[in-house]
Amino acid sequence: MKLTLGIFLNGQSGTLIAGSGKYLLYEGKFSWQTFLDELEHCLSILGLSRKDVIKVYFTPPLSSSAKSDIKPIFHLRLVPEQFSAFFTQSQNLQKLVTIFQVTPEKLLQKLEENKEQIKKANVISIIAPFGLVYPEKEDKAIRILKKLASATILKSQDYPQLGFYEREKALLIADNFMVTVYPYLKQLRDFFAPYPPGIYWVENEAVCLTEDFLPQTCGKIYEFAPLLQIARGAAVLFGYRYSLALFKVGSTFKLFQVQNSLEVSELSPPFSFISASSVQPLLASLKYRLPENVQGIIPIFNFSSYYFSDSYPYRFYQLAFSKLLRYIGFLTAPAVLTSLTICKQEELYENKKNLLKNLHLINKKHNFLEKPVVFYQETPIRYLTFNHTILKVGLKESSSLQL
Amino acid sequence: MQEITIDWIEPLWYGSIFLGSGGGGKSELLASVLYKALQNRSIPLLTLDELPENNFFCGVGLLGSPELSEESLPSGMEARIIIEELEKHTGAKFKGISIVEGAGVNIFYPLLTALQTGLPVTDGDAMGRAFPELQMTTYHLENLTVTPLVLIDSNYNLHLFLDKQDTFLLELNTRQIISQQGGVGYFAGFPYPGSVLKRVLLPGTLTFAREIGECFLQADNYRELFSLLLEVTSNSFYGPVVEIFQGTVTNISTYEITKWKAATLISPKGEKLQLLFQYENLLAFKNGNMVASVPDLISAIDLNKLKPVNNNEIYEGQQLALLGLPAPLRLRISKALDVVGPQCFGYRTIYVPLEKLYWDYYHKKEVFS
Repeated sequence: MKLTLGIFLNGQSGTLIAGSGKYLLYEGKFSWQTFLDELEHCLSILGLSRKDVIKVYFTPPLSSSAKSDIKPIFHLRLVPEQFSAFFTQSQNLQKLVTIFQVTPEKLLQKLEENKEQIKKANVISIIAPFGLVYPEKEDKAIRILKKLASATILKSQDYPQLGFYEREKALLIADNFMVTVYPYLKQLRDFFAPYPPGIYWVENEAVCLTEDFLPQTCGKIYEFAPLLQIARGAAVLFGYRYSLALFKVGSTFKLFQVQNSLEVSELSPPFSFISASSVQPLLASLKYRLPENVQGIIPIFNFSSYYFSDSYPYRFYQLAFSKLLRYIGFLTAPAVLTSLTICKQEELYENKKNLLKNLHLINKKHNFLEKPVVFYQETPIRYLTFNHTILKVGLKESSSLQL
Repeated sequence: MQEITIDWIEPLWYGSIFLGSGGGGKSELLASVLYKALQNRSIPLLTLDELPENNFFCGVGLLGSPELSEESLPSGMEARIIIEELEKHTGAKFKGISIVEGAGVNIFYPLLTALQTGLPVTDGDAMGRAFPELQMTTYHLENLTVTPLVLIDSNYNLHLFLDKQDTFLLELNTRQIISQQGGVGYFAGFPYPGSVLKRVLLPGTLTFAREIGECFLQADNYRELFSLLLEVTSNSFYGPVVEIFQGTVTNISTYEITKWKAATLISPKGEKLQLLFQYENLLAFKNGNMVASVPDLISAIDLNKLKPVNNNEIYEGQQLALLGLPAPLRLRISKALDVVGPQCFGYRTIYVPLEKLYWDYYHKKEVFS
């Protein structure tokens, strides 16, 4: 049997689940001390060996119970004097992070003033706006930080997302990951040695954690990960290849589609999809651009607690949030391998070829994806003293869930 | 006087992408900021007829890379600084904001400025679409200078261009500054009174962008979308939209010089289209014959999502419809073609209007009916 393990971490405790296909086979609680015992217990109850575990999934939210006043993450923003920055992370993350904004000119003096705080941090991250503070200055800051502390340092240059806020979000989630999940990774790898399964981070799709893939993809849909997983869970559990899921987040409705039982994507428009009255027009317009292979009744799993009447081809199913849906949606997340790089325009083709070759090798080595499909995307960065492009190359699973 | 309210943002978003003709950029963050700011406020919108003859307006916009604007989001402080600086040097007190590029991210930035300064904005622009350079405006056609111009870079350094100077040279100078200072900057310039703007600006382009965007929100399928776009464009000074091609992207190639790119599309019938683009879509060749050329707009629509897409969103395997929209007449005269024709982008070809390329469509079929 091919078993997938899912791990939710909540401060000092957590939940371990195990499943295969659409079946949830195990659920158990653990603490940091009892994690391996619980894992052992799970496998023995199911009568399976370590070799049967093919994937281990972690998912948001990551919450850590910081008992002392010392925040484990020290986040340094190296920005120009007038840079307008704001912090929009969740309360949970705010408890863990000390944000420190400084200009390259005042760096030395400020770091010296905060030496004690830096020394106590478990993870240090550094971010600078692209094109405004050049990598040399960032590298210099890293050299100084290395002298001051022995903590792991994550730098924004490894996070090629374009957009300061997007990159900072990813960086902070990776910081949190380092603080919260990293201790478990070592235990897991030791436990499964010499055949460790693939370990993945799941927001929507499962992103392989080997070879530092986390920086490339985490953070984008961190807040909505539970909704995406619930949408997928409902599609898998009720056995629909194509379905829709409707949620209400604050005052805004969110509509997701689930294709091939597993591939979840958002359909709600970026701005004005707010009131209940906008749901029906959106569904009406969607009717005419459904995928070609979609025929007959389309189920809409309605988690919004608002009542909507059925109209062909849609049928609403009023559902409530349930752990089971989340668990199944989480465990059935399709895996992707994505690699990003910032490269010169002239070297684009060569880089594309190399990244792809590399991804194929990793895929083969770890046996992640059976029938991978290649995808890539280019975003040119213009109007700088150099011409670079952000290149994204990836492999994803081609087939749908084998139930 | 009309008002721009929160309801404008989404249609304007799609309209700005369509009129961007593949370029012009888009910043969801900027649009979101505006969306939130307009929750209980509005921006006065003045049609060209409503512009007070003697009141001075200044053109504002983003210069550089729209992608990098998300790297250093405008705080709003920069708009005040550049406008106040421009007022200091011109001696004029600005009574409104004029739009220079009525497409892409440069639709939204003037609105944000208008909101922050409390000034009205003009329903008209100087490009009628997205173009990458400062001289590609209707001001150039009227021999009106861009200067005095105040530029602020991402490090909040002010750069003043106060003397009358050649727009081509100004373009080079500003780009050089921007390239060294974070790739994005904001300018205030084109200080002209309402009487001049009435003559220079292309009228109603902001409303037109909204109407275009409404089509994308209303349409249930591609045919309906095309009919709606045809209706809206036929009743504008642009002219009826025409379908250039429908097909799947099979290849995107990049040439050594960074801005030269080409995408190949194949239709279900096996016809082949080559789309040449730099920042904006510039030329299209179907089976080796030219089917559209700049300054006419060539806009791509994702057939699965039924939404307009920018060039950097195109990927292999994507199903696209390419639509051509005749450029406003003022962009087609010889003097305009000297600055916006295909040769200005380095292509050895001349501009052929869509009406000539699709003679039957425009002259025999009653597209205006």
